[in-house]
Amino acid sequence: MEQAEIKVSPAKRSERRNRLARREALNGYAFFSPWLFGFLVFTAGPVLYSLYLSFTSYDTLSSPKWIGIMNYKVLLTQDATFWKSLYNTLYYVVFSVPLGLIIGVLLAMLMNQKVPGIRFFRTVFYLPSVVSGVAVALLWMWLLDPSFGLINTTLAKFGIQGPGWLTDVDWSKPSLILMSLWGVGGSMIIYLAGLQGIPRDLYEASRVDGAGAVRQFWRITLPLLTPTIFYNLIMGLLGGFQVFLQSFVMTNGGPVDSTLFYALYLYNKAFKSSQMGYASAMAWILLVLTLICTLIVLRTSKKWVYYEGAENK
Amino acid sequence: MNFRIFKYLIPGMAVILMTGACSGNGANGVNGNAASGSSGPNSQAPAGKEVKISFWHIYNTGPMKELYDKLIDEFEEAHPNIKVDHAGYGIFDLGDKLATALAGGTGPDLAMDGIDGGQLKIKAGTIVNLQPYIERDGVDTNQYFPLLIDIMKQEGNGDLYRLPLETDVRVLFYNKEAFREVGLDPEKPPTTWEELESYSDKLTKWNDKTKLLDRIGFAPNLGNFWYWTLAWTNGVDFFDDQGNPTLDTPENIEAAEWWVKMQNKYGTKAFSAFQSQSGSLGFDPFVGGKVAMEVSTNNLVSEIKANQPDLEYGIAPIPIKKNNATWSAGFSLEIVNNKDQAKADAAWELLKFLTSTEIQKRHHIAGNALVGNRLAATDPEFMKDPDWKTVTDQMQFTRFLETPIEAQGWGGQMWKNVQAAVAGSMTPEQAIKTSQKETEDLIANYKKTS
Repeated sequence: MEQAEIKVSPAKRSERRNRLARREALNGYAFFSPWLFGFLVFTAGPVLYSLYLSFTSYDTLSSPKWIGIMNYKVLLTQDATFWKSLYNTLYYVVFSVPLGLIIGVLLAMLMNQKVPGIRFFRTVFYLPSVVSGVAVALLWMWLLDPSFGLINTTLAKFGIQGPGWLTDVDWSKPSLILMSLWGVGGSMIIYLAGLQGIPRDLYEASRVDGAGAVRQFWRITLPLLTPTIFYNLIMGLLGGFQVFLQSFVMTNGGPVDSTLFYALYLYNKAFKSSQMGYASAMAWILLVLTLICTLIVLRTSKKWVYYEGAENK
Repeated sequence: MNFRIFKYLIPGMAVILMTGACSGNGANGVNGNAASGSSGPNSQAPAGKEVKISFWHIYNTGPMKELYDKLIDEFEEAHPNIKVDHAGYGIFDLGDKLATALAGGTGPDLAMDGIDGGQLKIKAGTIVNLQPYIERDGVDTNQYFPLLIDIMKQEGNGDLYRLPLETDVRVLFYNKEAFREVGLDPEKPPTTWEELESYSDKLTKWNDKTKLLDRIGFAPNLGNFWYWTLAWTNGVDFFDDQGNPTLDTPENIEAAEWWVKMQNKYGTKAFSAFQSQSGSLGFDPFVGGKVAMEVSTNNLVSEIKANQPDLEYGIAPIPIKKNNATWSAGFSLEIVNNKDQAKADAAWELLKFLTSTEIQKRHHIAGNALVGNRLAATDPEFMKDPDWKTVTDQMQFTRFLETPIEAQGWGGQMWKNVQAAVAGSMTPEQAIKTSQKETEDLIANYKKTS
């Protein structure tokens, strides 16, 4: 032993290093274990359990009964309401996400101008995304009131007969999409950060080369903003598929199921009809759908997302 | 604080001594009964041993909260060995809270819960069979409204698992002043659909200038009138004895046609304007004098008293086509099976106390509620009020909306389809046919996935 201390062989040295590394790793795991514990118990556990439940019949009171893929089979082949709710959700996603992107970018560009009082406007546009969802929903119920709402009374001043909004089967989904655009301030702030990250010298150089504002937008601003757009697109998709609160608070899925979104139908099955297994199967179908959409976006992102200095790999 | 303790200490001691003396006698008789049942209740918990139970209800505000705080105090005073930890969660929150708690096995010992949906809990063993307790203590179930008792029994063997606490019933409210104004006899409310329609046409007032409604005679979508109630008054039964849906009958289609016709007298634009305007009143449009006739629950009386005490109104049975019918909902009390005999026994004492005639009378006085105890609800003192008599008389015709486990949500779907017919996106006949189809699918899908 003494010998070893004096003349440390390379093998021993590496062993000590290993021991040190192992201790460090152990310390790392120790620090990280509370999170891991929380993740396993409160996230991964329930998620996997819901996968199990999706193959069972479970009324929350009796113990789950294994029924194989029956929930999935019935959902996909025999449940008309399932398809209706999926249609409603896709409709919402298809319109609210791209509109949110376009308006978010345009708004961010406006807010990126150097004019006096711009901070005030930035705050004003960001404010709606700070307000709690239920409060926003209640506010919009007032705004969208067919007869006395601010929107229709304003339209009436211009001689336009406003629609019934939330009470009209054809207008209920557009109403909720319109409302979602009001909360675009959250993504606007992210775009704004993206815009300010674009090097000034690019604009200067292009101006020297004779590029106008429009050309600058298409050739510089937009390409360099694509990583931010990409991020907001993914987040928007995830949020869009899970749209729930608006219809839960404002319309309860009506009129005539026109705002019965996927998550609301899932909620009704789980908590109103106590069909927890069925609802779990719905949750997994939604997960797969969201996954597919996200993967498509990720795959195509190579073609349209530009990372500065990353050789666009 | 010290005074308070003394105040309770002496009567408390007396009660301990008395119950201790009585339980010796009572126990023998009870054991005889309990032996016959598989898991019968014990005799009362030994007086010296303290049992702490929890009790969830909806009364979280106003006079009902005050009453329940007081009742629990009185109960604890009379049962010194039982401590009750009670909480009111409000009418909308209790259901969700209870459902999750029961699923997680963290429910209270005694729970107030909606009258529907009991069979699932009975089947799963979530709630305790009350039959042995009822027999042990000789509780007379005739003191409750028979209809309520019927839906609280286990399907098949008829054991009671819950006892009724309070219910409601739908009646026609009509504005006597408006009747007089248009030359109708305020003592002769409409009794048939035809009369209801012709009275309504007389009572409706259009504003010539704005082309909007100043007053509506009767609109089925207003108040608390749900489509199934109307269908019942035309002799409709939504399910046969085997539980198969029988929605697509000519009677049901006729009812849907009538509903749509009545509602569409006003047109979407004028009606939604009316609703927005009356909604801003902050109370029911009938109370505000904007509707001359409206079907609502008996609880509308409290709203009238609170907001328009001078309103001259009458209460009548819902006008019918074939037979009298109306709809009730309400709350029952149930003992949650927490696998603790002492707690279940104590919860039963509280349940028995709260559903007893004397306490239910006080419940009625405090909340103006239609209590589940028939003797309390129809106490001669209360029956002096002719309106109250009309309300309690409806209990012989009233029904509960069937919610078979396999077809949960069918009623909401039918309502949705009838509203689609009102909006013109389908005919009333299509609405009923669609409802039949959807209910069949619901049952078929449930059966396949259970």
